[in-house]
Amino acid sequence: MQAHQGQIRAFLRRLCKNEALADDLAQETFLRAYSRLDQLQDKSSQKAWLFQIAYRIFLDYIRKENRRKNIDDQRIQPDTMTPAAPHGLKMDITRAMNALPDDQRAAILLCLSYGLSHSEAAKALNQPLGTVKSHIARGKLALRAFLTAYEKA
Amino acid sequence: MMQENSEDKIFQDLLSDYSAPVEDKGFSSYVMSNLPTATSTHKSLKRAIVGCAALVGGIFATMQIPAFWRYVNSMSLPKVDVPQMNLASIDTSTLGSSYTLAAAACMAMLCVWFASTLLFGDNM
Repeated sequence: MQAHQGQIRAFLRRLCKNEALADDLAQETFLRAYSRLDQLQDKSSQKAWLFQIAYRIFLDYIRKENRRKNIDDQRIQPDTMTPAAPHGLKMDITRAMNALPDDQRAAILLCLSYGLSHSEAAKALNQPLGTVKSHIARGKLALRAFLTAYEKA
Repeated sequence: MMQENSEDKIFQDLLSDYSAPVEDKGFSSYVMSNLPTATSTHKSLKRAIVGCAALVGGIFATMQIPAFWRYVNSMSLPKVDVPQMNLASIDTSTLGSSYTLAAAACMAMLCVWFASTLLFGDNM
Protein backbone atom coordinates (compact mmCIF):
# COMPACT_ATOMS: atom_id res chain seq x y z
CA MET A 1 0.00 0.00 0.00
CA GLN A 2 2.83 2.39 0.86
CA ALA A 3 4.18 1.96 -2.65
CA HIS A 4 1.00 3.25 -4.27
CA GLN A 5 -0.69 5.50 -1.72
CA GLY A 6 1.13 8.62 -2.90
CA GLN A 7 0.01 8.28 -6.51
CA ILE A 8 -3.51 7.19 -5.64
CA ARG A 9 -3.98 10.12 -3.29
CA ALA A 10 -2.48 12.58 -5.79
CA PHE A 11 -4.71 11.17 -8.54
CA LEU A 12 -7.83 11.54 -6.39
CA ARG A 13 -6.81 15.00 -5.21
CA ARG A 14 -6.55 16.16 -8.81
CA LEU A 15 -9.93 14.67 -9.61
CA CYS A 16 -11.75 15.90 -6.49
CA LYS A 17 -9.92 19.20 -6.10
CA ASN A 18 -10.34 18.72 -2.37
CA GLU A 19 -7.58 17.14 -0.30
CA ALA A 20 -9.65 15.94 2.65
CA LEU A 21 -12.27 14.38 0.42
CA ALA A 22 -9.56 12.79 -1.75
CA ASP A 23 -7.92 11.22 1.28
CA ASP A 24 -11.28 9.81 2.42
CA LEU A 25 -11.81 8.32 -1.03
CA ALA A 26 -8.24 6.98 -1.02
CA GLN A 27 -8.86 5.29 2.30
CA GLU A 28 -12.03 3.75 0.91
CA THR A 29 -10.02 2.63 -2.12
CA PHE A 30 -7.53 0.71 -0.04
CA LEU A 31 -10.21 -0.78 2.20
CA ARG A 32 -12.13 -2.00 -0.84
CA ALA A 33 -8.93 -3.30 -2.44
CA TYR A 34 -8.16 -5.21 0.74
CA SER A 35 -11.60 -6.78 0.86
CA ARG A 36 -11.31 -7.83 -2.79
CA LEU A 37 -7.71 -8.91 -2.75
CA ASP A 38 -8.71 -12.39 -3.91
CA GLN A 39 -9.99 -10.88 -7.17
CA LEU A 40 -6.51 -9.62 -8.10
CA GLN A 41 -5.25 -12.31 -10.43
CA ASP A 42 -2.20 -10.66 -11.98
CA LYS A 43 -0.03 -8.99 -9.37
CA SER A 44 1.90 -7.10 -12.03
CA SER A 45 -1.26 -5.11 -12.80
CA GLN A 46 -1.76 -4.19 -9.15
CA LYS A 47 -1.22 -0.48 -9.82
CA ALA A 48 -3.79 -0.33 -12.63
CA TRP A 49 -6.20 -2.33 -10.45
CA LEU A 50 -5.87 0.18 -7.61
CA PHE A 51 -6.42 3.10 -9.98
CA GLN A 52 -9.49 1.30 -11.33
CA ILE A 53 -10.95 0.99 -7.83
CA ALA A 54 -10.05 4.59 -7.02
CA TYR A 55 -11.69 5.93 -10.17
CA ARG A 56 -14.85 3.89 -9.56
CA ILE A 57 -15.08 5.19 -6.01
CA PHE A 58 -14.63 8.72 -7.34
CA LEU A 59 -17.40 8.18 -9.92
CA ASP A 60 -19.68 6.71 -7.23
CA TYR A 61 -19.07 9.79 -5.13
CA ILE A 62 -19.81 12.10 -8.06
CA ARG A 63 -23.06 10.25 -8.82
CA LYS A 64 -24.17 10.49 -5.21
CA GLU A 65 -23.32 14.15 -5.10
CA ASN A 66 -25.09 14.82 -8.38
CA ARG A 67 -28.15 13.23 -6.88
CA ARG A 68 -27.93 15.66 -4.01
CA LYS A 69 -27.71 18.51 -6.54
CA ASN A 70 -24.96 20.34 -4.72
CA ILE A 71 -21.93 19.03 -6.55
CA ASP A 72 -21.02 22.34 -8.13
CA ASP A 73 -21.18 24.27 -4.87
CA GLN A 74 -19.02 21.68 -3.18
CA ARG A 75 -16.40 21.45 -5.90
CA ILE A 76 -16.06 25.17 -6.50
CA GLN A 77 -15.32 25.80 -2.84
CA PRO A 78 -11.66 26.74 -2.40
CA ASP A 79 -9.63 24.06 -0.73
CA THR A 80 -8.40 25.55 2.51
CA MET A 81 -6.11 22.55 3.13
CA THR A 82 -3.84 23.37 0.19
CA PRO A 83 -0.56 24.47 1.75
CA ALA A 84 0.62 26.95 -0.86
CA ALA A 85 -0.89 28.35 -4.00
CA PRO A 86 1.17 27.58 -7.10
CA HIS A 87 2.77 30.42 -9.00
CA GLY A 88 3.47 31.19 -12.65
CA LEU A 89 3.67 28.22 -14.95
CA LYS A 90 2.60 25.78 -12.22
CA MET A 91 -0.54 27.74 -11.59
CA ASP A 92 -1.33 27.87 -15.29
CA ILE A 93 -0.75 24.13 -15.64
CA THR A 94 -3.10 23.55 -12.73
CA ARG A 95 -5.70 25.76 -14.37
CA ALA A 96 -5.27 24.11 -17.75
CA MET A 97 -5.60 20.65 -16.27
CA ASN A 98 -8.56 21.60 -14.08
CA ALA A 99 -10.31 22.95 -17.15
CA LEU A 100 -10.27 19.48 -18.72
CA PRO A 101 -13.26 17.17 -18.18
CA ASP A 102 -12.76 14.57 -15.44
CA ASP A 103 -12.30 11.61 -17.77
CA GLN A 104 -9.74 13.45 -19.94
CA ARG A 105 -7.85 14.62 -16.88
CA ALA A 106 -7.87 11.10 -15.46
CA ALA A 107 -6.62 9.60 -18.73
CA ILE A 108 -3.82 12.17 -19.03
CA LEU A 109 -2.73 11.62 -15.44
CA LEU A 110 -2.76 7.83 -15.70
CA CYS A 111 -0.85 7.64 -18.98
CA LEU A 112 1.51 10.61 -18.85
CA SER A 113 2.17 10.93 -15.14
CA TYR A 114 1.72 7.49 -13.62
CA GLY A 115 3.07 5.43 -16.49
CA LEU A 116 0.06 3.26 -17.28
CA SER A 117 -0.30 1.96 -20.81
CA HIS A 118 -3.33 2.98 -22.84
CA SER A 119 -4.95 -0.42 -22.35
CA GLU A 120 -4.31 -0.34 -18.60
CA ALA A 121 -5.82 3.14 -18.43
CA ALA A 122 -8.81 1.95 -20.45
CA LYS A 123 -9.34 -0.84 -17.95
CA ALA A 124 -8.88 1.48 -14.99
CA LEU A 125 -11.35 4.02 -16.37
CA ASN A 126 -13.73 1.32 -17.59
CA GLN A 127 -13.80 2.85 -21.05
CA PRO A 128 -13.00 1.48 -24.51
CA LEU A 129 -9.39 1.78 -25.64
CA GLY A 130 -10.34 4.12 -28.49
CA THR A 131 -12.15 6.45 -26.13
CA VAL A 132 -9.15 6.65 -23.83
CA LYS A 133 -6.83 7.37 -26.76
CA SER A 134 -9.21 10.06 -27.86
CA HIS A 135 -9.28 11.57 -24.36
CA ILE A 136 -5.50 11.64 -24.28
CA ALA A 137 -5.27 13.20 -27.74
CA ARG A 138 -7.78 15.91 -26.80
CA GLY A 139 -6.06 16.51 -23.48
CA LYS A 140 -2.71 16.89 -25.20
CA LEU A 141 -4.26 19.25 -27.69
CA ALA A 142 -5.57 21.42 -24.87
CA LEU A 143 -2.20 21.37 -23.11
CA ARG A 144 -0.43 22.15 -26.39
CA ALA A 145 -2.72 25.13 -26.93
CA PHE A 146 -2.01 26.24 -23.40
CA LEU A 147 1.76 25.97 -23.96
CA THR A 148 1.57 27.95 -27.19
CA ALA A 149 -0.44 30.66 -25.48
CA TYR A 150 1.99 30.68 -22.57
CA GLU A 151 5.00 31.06 -24.86
CA LYS A 152 3.37 33.95 -26.68
CA ALA A 153 2.51 35.76 -23.45
CA MET B 1 6.90 8.80 -33.30
CA MET B 2 10.06 10.40 -31.94
CA GLN B 3 8.34 13.77 -31.93
CA GLU B 4 5.40 12.31 -30.06
CA ASN B 5 7.72 10.75 -27.48
CA SER B 6 9.58 13.99 -26.94
CA GLU B 7 6.29 15.81 -26.62
CA ASP B 8 5.13 13.26 -24.07
CA LYS B 9 8.34 13.89 -22.15
CA ILE B 10 7.62 17.64 -22.18
CA PHE B 11 4.12 17.02 -20.88
CA GLN B 12 5.44 14.66 -18.22
CA ASP B 13 7.89 17.32 -17.07
CA LEU B 14 5.16 19.93 -17.07
CA LEU B 15 2.86 17.73 -15.04
CA SER B 16 5.52 16.48 -12.63
CA ASP B 17 4.53 18.93 -9.90
CA TYR B 18 0.83 18.75 -10.65
CA SER B 19 0.73 14.98 -10.29
CA ALA B 20 3.48 14.55 -7.71
CA PRO B 21 2.74 11.68 -5.29
CA VAL B 22 1.53 12.78 -1.89
CA GLU B 23 3.74 12.10 1.12
CA ASP B 24 2.50 9.34 3.40
CA LYS B 25 2.50 11.26 6.70
CA GLY B 26 0.81 8.45 8.59
CA PHE B 27 -1.85 7.72 5.99
CA SER B 28 -0.80 4.09 5.46
CA SER B 29 -0.68 3.27 9.15
CA TYR B 30 -4.07 4.94 9.65
CA VAL B 31 -5.62 2.87 6.86
CA MET B 32 -3.94 -0.30 8.14
CA SER B 33 -5.40 0.31 11.57
CA ASN B 34 -8.87 0.48 10.02
CA LEU B 35 -8.60 -2.77 8.09
CA PRO B 36 -11.14 -5.42 9.06
CA THR B 37 -9.57 -7.91 11.46
CA ALA B 38 -11.44 -11.04 10.41
CA THR B 39 -9.02 -13.66 9.13
CA SER B 40 -9.70 -16.20 6.46
CA THR B 41 -9.96 -18.92 9.14
CA HIS B 42 -12.72 -16.99 10.85
CA LYS B 43 -14.51 -16.52 7.54
CA SER B 44 -14.33 -20.23 6.72
CA LEU B 45 -15.55 -21.15 10.18
CA LYS B 46 -18.41 -18.67 9.94
CA ARG B 47 -19.33 -20.00 6.52
CA ALA B 48 -19.33 -23.60 7.77
CA ILE B 49 -21.42 -22.81 10.84
CA VAL B 50 -24.00 -20.84 8.89
CA GLY B 51 -24.14 -23.52 6.19
CA CYS B 52 -24.69 -26.28 8.73
CA ALA B 53 -27.30 -24.26 10.58
CA ALA B 54 -29.14 -23.56 7.34
CA LEU B 55 -29.02 -27.23 6.39
CA VAL B 56 -30.29 -28.42 9.78
CA GLY B 57 -32.96 -25.72 9.79
CA GLY B 58 -34.03 -26.64 6.28
CA ILE B 59 -34.27 -30.36 7.12
CA PHE B 60 -36.20 -29.63 10.31
CA ALA B 61 -38.57 -27.29 8.48
CA THR B 62 -39.13 -29.84 5.71
CA MET B 63 -39.86 -32.55 8.28
CA GLN B 64 -42.55 -30.38 9.79
CA ILE B 65 -44.39 -29.87 6.52
CA PRO B 66 -46.53 -33.08 6.68
CA ALA B 67 -47.56 -32.31 10.26
CA PHE B 68 -48.36 -28.77 9.26
CA TRP B 69 -50.35 -30.02 6.30
CA ARG B 70 -52.30 -32.44 8.50
CA TYR B 71 -53.06 -29.59 10.88
CA VAL B 72 -54.28 -27.42 8.04
CA ASN B 73 -56.45 -30.25 6.75
CA SER B 74 -57.87 -30.89 10.20
CA MET B 75 -59.16 -27.35 10.42
CA SER B 76 -62.78 -27.11 9.55
CA LEU B 77 -64.13 -24.07 7.87
CA PRO B 78 -67.73 -22.97 8.27
CA LYS B 79 -69.81 -24.34 5.49
CA VAL B 80 -71.07 -21.73 3.11
CA ASP B 81 -73.99 -22.42 0.95
CA VAL B 82 -73.06 -21.47 -2.59
CA PRO B 83 -75.94 -22.53 -4.71
CA GLN B 84 -74.34 -21.63 -8.06
CA MET B 85 -71.18 -23.73 -7.68
CA ASN B 86 -70.63 -27.37 -7.11
CA LEU B 87 -67.38 -27.43 -5.12
CA ALA B 88 -67.41 -31.16 -4.78
CA SER B 89 -66.63 -31.45 -8.45
CA ILE B 90 -63.15 -29.89 -7.98
CA ASP B 91 -60.42 -32.49 -7.90
CA THR B 92 -58.31 -31.82 -4.78
CA SER B 93 -56.16 -34.89 -4.95
CA THR B 94 -53.17 -33.03 -6.42
CA LEU B 95 -53.44 -29.92 -4.23
CA GLY B 96 -51.70 -31.50 -1.27
CA SER B 97 -48.50 -32.32 -3.12
CA SER B 98 -48.27 -28.99 -4.93
CA TYR B 99 -48.79 -27.03 -1.70
CA THR B 100 -46.15 -29.11 -0.01
CA LEU B 101 -43.72 -28.45 -2.84
CA ALA B 102 -44.42 -24.73 -2.81
CA ALA B 103 -43.93 -24.53 0.95
CA ALA B 104 -40.69 -26.48 0.72
CA ALA B 105 -39.44 -24.21 -2.07
CA CYS B 106 -40.23 -21.11 -0.01
CA MET B 107 -38.42 -22.58 2.98
CA ALA B 108 -35.39 -23.41 0.83
CA MET B 109 -35.29 -19.91 -0.67
CA LEU B 110 -35.54 -18.36 2.78
CA CYS B 111 -32.66 -20.50 4.00
CA VAL B 112 -30.50 -19.59 1.00
CA TRP B 113 -31.27 -15.90 1.38
CA PHE B 114 -30.54 -15.95 5.09
CA ALA B 115 -27.28 -17.84 4.66
CA SER B 116 -26.06 -15.63 1.79
CA THR B 117 -26.90 -12.46 3.71
CA LEU B 118 -24.84 -13.66 6.64
CA LEU B 119 -22.01 -14.87 4.44
CA PHE B 120 -21.63 -12.10 1.94
CA GLY B 121 -23.32 -9.18 3.66
CA ASP B 122 -23.08 -5.98 1.59
CA ASN B 123 -21.07 -7.59 -1.20
CA MET B 124 -24.11 -9.23 -2.71
